[in-house]
Amino acid sequence: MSKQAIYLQLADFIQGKIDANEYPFGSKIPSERELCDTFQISRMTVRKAIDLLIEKEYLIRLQGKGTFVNKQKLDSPLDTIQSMKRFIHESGLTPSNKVIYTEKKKAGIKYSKIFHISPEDEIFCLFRLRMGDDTPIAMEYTYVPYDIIPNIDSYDFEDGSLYALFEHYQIELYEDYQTIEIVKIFNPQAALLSIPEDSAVFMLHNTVTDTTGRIVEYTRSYMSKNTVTFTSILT
Amino acid sequence: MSKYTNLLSEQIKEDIETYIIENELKPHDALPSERKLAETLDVNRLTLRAALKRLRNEHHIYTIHGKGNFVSPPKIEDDTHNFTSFTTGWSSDGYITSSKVVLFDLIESPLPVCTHLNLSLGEKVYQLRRIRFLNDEPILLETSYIPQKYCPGLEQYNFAVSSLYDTLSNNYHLNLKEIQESMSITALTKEESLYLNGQEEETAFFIKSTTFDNEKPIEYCITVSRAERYMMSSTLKSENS
Repeated sequence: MSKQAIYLQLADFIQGKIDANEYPFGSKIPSERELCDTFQISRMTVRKAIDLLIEKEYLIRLQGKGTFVNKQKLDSPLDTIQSMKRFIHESGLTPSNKVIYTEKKKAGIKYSKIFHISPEDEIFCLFRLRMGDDTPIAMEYTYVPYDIIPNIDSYDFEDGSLYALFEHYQIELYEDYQTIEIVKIFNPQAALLSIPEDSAVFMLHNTVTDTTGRIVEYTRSYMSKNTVTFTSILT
Repeated sequence: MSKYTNLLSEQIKEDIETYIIENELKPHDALPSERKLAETLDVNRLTLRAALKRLRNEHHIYTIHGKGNFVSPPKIEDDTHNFTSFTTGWSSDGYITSSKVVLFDLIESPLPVCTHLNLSLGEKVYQLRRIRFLNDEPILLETSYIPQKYCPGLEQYNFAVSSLYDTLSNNYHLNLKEIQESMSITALTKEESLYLNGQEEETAFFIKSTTFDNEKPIEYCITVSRAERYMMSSTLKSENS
């Protein structure tokens, strides 16, 4: 790797500082001249490295003000089931929830087809705003068959997690069929996510099956493109 | 707080979804007029319109001016958990596939491409842009960059009919085994909208992928696809299983 072009080495160096939080979000990075002096390299090389990091959205250049560390997006891997709480936590943020609404209702035709239950059976609806460091990450509409967790409506979902409850009641998750679409958002979701109405966002549907083959959770969520990218490694 | 908790139009949206299921409406079938639908669902016109807008935003219905609202066809579902060529993957899903090459050039690698392919500025890459059709509908616009040093003479192949992956593996002995993908949201440029039969500025998927032979990046590809027609799916496994 030592044969790497100088500008790539400098870009790696700066990216490392950002990843290590030595250059935190919003901070100004050293000026082009300072970088030239420190590393004894040409202005052209420095500029190439910075342009590259701007292209990779690590940095942002503000006209007349300098170059700053950009807001890092959360990186959601497309292979393992994980709770939103853990995802936010592993992204280095402090997770919190705001419960918008809960309700027990009849499944009706739509949800009876999703859960393979009777339209007369009851489901529990849990609408939550998921946050990291008090910034909105996702608006989630979760549906669970009412009878799989005793007294599910008595839990405080601001503190507790649904996945912790699943574990407590020995509901072992097996797989999660996930679809990702891009849609335009409307209120109340837009207001909750603090983005303008009609913005394009990711809409996810997750259908979670447990080890007995029962569908235990169906969640629709909205995530702003400014907060997340999805990555996967296929082999 | 009322804008946060007013869930009525969302409820009505679900009622319309239920109406579509119960009445077995098929793609391109018309919904009843707004007046009739408002009567059937017992809701005022304003709320009904908000609910219809939600359905339109999420591509469940589409509107033809002066004619009314229609059920949208299902989106094309791209199962990301297969590393297969375009033709193999989609044919096994029952689609008739075809491709059209709209650009195939040897160029100096642009800076962003250099990053993804670990190239120095000035190195040459093949730039191959193809429209991918499923059942004659243009779905994906793919722009691939492949360093010339790994596959000199690539221009002799016709990628409207040949698979790029098959060619790289059979004729250049590259062992393509891993793809890294990341996805974000974009708006179609005029050119892209013409290739994909869409509208300029329309919302679309923007997918960057890099294909590796062991650790070595061989191909960098940008794929654009209309949000109205395309979705991704994957099956996530529990960590214990």
